[in-house]
Amino acid sequence: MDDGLLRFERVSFAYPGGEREVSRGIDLAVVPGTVTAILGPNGAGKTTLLNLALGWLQPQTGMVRFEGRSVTEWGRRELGCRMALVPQRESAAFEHTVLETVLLGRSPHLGLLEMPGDRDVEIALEAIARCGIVSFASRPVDCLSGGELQMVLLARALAQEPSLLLLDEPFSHLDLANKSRLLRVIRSLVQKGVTIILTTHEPEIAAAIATHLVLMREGQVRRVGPLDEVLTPPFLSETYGIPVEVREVDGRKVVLWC
Amino acid sequence: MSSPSSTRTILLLGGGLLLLLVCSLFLGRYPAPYVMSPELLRTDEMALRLVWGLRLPRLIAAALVGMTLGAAGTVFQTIFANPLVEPGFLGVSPGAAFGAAFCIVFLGNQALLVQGFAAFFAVAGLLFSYALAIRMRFGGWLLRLVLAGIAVSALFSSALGILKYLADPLSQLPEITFWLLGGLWSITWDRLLPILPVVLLALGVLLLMRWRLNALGLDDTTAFSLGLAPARERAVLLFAAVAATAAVVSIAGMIGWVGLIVPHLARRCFEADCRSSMPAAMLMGGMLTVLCDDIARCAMAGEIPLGILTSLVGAGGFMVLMTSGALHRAK
Repeated sequence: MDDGLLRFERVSFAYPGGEREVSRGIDLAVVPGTVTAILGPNGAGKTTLLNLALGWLQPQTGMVRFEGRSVTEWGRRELGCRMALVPQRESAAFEHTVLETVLLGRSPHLGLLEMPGDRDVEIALEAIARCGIVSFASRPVDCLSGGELQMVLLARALAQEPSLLLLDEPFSHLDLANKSRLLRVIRSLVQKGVTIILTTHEPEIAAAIATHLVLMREGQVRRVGPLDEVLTPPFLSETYGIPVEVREVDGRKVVLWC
Repeated sequence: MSSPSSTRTILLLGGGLLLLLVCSLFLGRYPAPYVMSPELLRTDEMALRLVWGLRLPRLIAAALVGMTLGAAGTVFQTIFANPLVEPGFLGVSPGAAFGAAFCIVFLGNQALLVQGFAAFFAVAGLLFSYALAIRMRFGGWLLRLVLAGIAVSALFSSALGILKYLADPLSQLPEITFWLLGGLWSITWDRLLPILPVVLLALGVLLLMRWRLNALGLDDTTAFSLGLAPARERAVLLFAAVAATAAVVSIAGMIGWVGLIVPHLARRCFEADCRSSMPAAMLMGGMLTVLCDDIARCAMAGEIPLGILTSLVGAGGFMVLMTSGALHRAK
């Protein structure tokens, strides 16, 4: 078995009929217990990378392995019990409550015709408590704010009890207090041994939480490595195509740009 | 059921439907309009035959029609994440209407034959819509299905128009019109029994998979990440819903609005979670259709087409729901 919970091996992907490859020759290994942040300009292929990790998109060449096995070979439920996704946004057509929504995270643990039992409700309630959204657990999700909904989607993913959690721009709809809360939740997950991969547009977020950094541009991984080695002015400038400076204030990294 | 109180209410609804069915056995126009005394079953041979041979199969059919349309409507609205779709959608109802009219015009008005043609073309309408959606080069999968359904429905409706134009205005056209208005006046055990296995099996599948249905209404990627096989599982549920719909439409004709309004009513009275709203939609659909059918066969000397009554009640109910805020938050 190789070193890495999740490995991308020379992965290339283009949408059917699309001329351009949105992922090109990606090599990447994610070590268990780490937080990997993926940074890159719009359209760099960050979300595609997550969808490839999930097995939802299948690469034309190369292979994505999870625990040493190709993600496409995993059974649907088997993988759903180990890997969870927090999507960027979600629209609700009907008035499902927060608890009903979070309970859906138990789907991979239940058979096709099974209904969630008391134990599943308990796990869902734990996930709700951990995300700090107990106060609106019985409200319908379609009347929540963007930030509240984000925490509901996180709680649903936690109800899956995954060992690898994928978060697609989890901080984009959050105010400062909610960002701080989400950072705390992620840190507590890491302490429990959950491996995290998240995409973000904010280098400060990556600096605050990540152990490893992946810089992407035009479907390629340009730089990858431990945070301190990759979060540097030349690499960031190269990735975004504008001058970027990195300063340290009270031991925290701040990224300056204009 | 997610709460004991909704379990209780659903059991009450089930009891209500049974009670309604039993009472309806004694409603009709024999020996006199409206109520027949149960005593008569022991003394009057004719009354006994009427109740067992005609009223009972008809009432069971009415309940099944309503249950199927309510359940199938819940499936369609949840999977398409759209509160405005109904089970006849995707070419099913216009297909059935065309099939029935085709049979009446070219092969004669034999009940079982008309039923077979209606069922066949209902499924054909769905398969045609599905095949068209696969080949369409536009938009996402759900949008393509909707567009394909609209196009196929328009095609069948125009073909139906041609058949009506060709039909004999004195013998065939009234038959077609009556079929299109929907009704259960011709139901006997002979017509009910062939569809029973399909309808019961499909309703069973929908009932058993009702919690799963919640997750199938989510985005593809999300449903996939939750360990589901969204395309395959949606296909199973849609197929069950359409098979049952085609079967009941083939015996009852066009029964409007039940499949659209009842799922809303169920969600409003219970919750959006299909664990409660699915059985609630089945039972409420059954009750609504049995009630309308009671009116259809009792109110006047001649039979009122059932489809007219369900549309009247359904559209009226829809207006009340629309203005009372039930749909406000639905996107």
